[in-house]
Amino acid sequence: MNPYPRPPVHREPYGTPATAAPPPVDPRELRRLRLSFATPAAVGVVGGYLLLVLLSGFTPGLMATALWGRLTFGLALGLALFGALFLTAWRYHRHMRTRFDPLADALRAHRDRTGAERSKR
Amino acid sequence: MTAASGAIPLSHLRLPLVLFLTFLAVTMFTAVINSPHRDEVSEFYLGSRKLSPLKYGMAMCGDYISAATLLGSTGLVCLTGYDGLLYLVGTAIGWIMVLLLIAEPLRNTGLFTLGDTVAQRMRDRQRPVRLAIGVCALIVSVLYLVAQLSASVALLAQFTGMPGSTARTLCVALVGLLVVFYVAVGGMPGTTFIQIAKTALLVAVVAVAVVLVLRHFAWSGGGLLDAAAANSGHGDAYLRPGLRFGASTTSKLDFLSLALSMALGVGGLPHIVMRLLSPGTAHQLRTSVLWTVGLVGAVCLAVGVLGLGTAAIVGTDTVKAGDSTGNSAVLLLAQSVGGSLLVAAFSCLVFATILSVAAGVTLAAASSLAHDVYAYGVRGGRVEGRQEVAVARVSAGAVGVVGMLIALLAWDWNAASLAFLAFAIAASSLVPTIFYTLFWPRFTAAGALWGLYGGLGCSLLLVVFSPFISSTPASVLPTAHFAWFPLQNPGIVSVPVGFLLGWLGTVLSPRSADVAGYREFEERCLTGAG
Repeated sequence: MNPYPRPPVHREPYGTPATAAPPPVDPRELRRLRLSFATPAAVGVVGGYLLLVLLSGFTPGLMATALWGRLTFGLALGLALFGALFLTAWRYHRHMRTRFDPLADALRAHRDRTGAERSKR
Repeated sequence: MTAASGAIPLSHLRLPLVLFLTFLAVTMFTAVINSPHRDEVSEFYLGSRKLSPLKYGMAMCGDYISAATLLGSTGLVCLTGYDGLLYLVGTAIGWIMVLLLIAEPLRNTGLFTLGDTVAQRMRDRQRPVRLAIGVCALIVSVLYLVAQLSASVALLAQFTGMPGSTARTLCVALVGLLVVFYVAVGGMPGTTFIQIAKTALLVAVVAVAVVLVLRHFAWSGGGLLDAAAANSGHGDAYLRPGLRFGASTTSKLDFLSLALSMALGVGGLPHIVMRLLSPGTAHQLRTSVLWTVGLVGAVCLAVGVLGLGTAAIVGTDTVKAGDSTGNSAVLLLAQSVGGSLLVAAFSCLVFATILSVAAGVTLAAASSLAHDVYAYGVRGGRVEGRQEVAVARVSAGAVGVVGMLIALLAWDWNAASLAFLAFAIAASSLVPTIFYTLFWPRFTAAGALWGLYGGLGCSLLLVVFSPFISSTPASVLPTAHFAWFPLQNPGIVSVPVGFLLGWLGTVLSPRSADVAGYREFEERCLTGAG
């Protein structure tokens, strides 16, 4: 037997169960925030690479055009892809930190709260 | 020439051996010290969940950059210029898919393996699905392990010339046993440390070599390119597309197929997926993968410089004289710009790379065997933690032995081709299932089974009938002729087939999907709550 008295349980006012409180953020909005950045960016970078491979295979003359000294069009595109890779990764990280994380944290806190209420009842 | 006819004189093996033994002693000691206490399942599979993002990033980079990149890619750039560089871009590019689409949802919904995430979508039929995932993960991992073990023979060949069968067996068995030791004793904590140590070594050694190469050309990229084109034996063609992949339409499509497998396959490699599950929060994971993108990208750029530097300083004739695959390129370059000290550093680095990647792959194979196949596939989830860890340790031994046996039979197969095969199989079986699980509300167990077995079967079938197995002098069976599929890499056909079968299986399955359940799952993908 538990010798200690139970701590007083905080109860919501009668008639408003905790689960009725609407979530502060629509999960669909969260998904939109994430994928509206991630999908086009991923398709762009990977598509850019596949395009570079195709162009190198089927239009080697274009890729061999000299731009500046030894730097050809193809080499420049390859370097640009590395740039795009780093830039996209960094921008995604910033986008998620500033736009996505605050909302996701709010929704998670809400779920934890309502989940805890539900398990008490 | 003395009896030893490797690219690097045998007397130079002493210093790398000392360095390598130091590396071994430190990492093995740490593996024992950090071995999972009280046989906790989560500690064995995930390790510490509180490392800094930089360390996780280094561990992921360590798992990813293999000996094929260090030896093979440098040689490819050295011998084929533009085409080699184009291939290096692909090595780095796949990580953007992991960062943007796969990493966070997988971590937020995952537990120890990929099977745990997928099983949440199809709870009532998780047994067959987990079995299928386990089978695919095992095949991919064992192929990758064999590639690493045969790379150790290739490295030994740089010093001693082509090793005899005894030397070969000893080399593979030694590396294999070390790997099994790391995994069985150290679990995830031990292998994480070896990855971090390897990445630190990688960044340091490669940075020194790049600085030495660039200083040789007075910090002028143009000078480097000029000399590389001049000494490559190809002149201007060296910096144009076509030396490696330009021979025919078939070879161009082959490269596209390889590029597709590389770009999509990274996120399906079981040892990479396992790493993604380790960090404690989604935010930590995101920062870790950001570090990985930076590290992998930087290493790939550096490998490009080293490859061009080899062509410029050593000359491709010297490289090809030692070994027609170009595997000796980076060691020859180290010899001429940094002397025997840099050769020692590079040899030690390649040994460490082989060990660490093989350990990561073995750990992933052991955990899918113990967790997905044994604990859930065979026992239906009724297994105690201690028991599961014991099974995982034994599985590590079993996977290691199978890998060693295949590596001894297949030591003269092209290690890079084996690794690409692993990428292609991962991209056509596991990746469609990952994408559908995370993003498609209607996805069902039938779709998962069709996609997994269909993608796996299609890629294996195409490889059996490809020039990799028969019909060309470089094939496994050069005298047989049944290669009706013209491409070395099956990706361009098998990836769409995997996605198509996953869709078809879902649409044709009589059961409807649990769309309401997906909403809950998706919220967990996004927030990690629940």
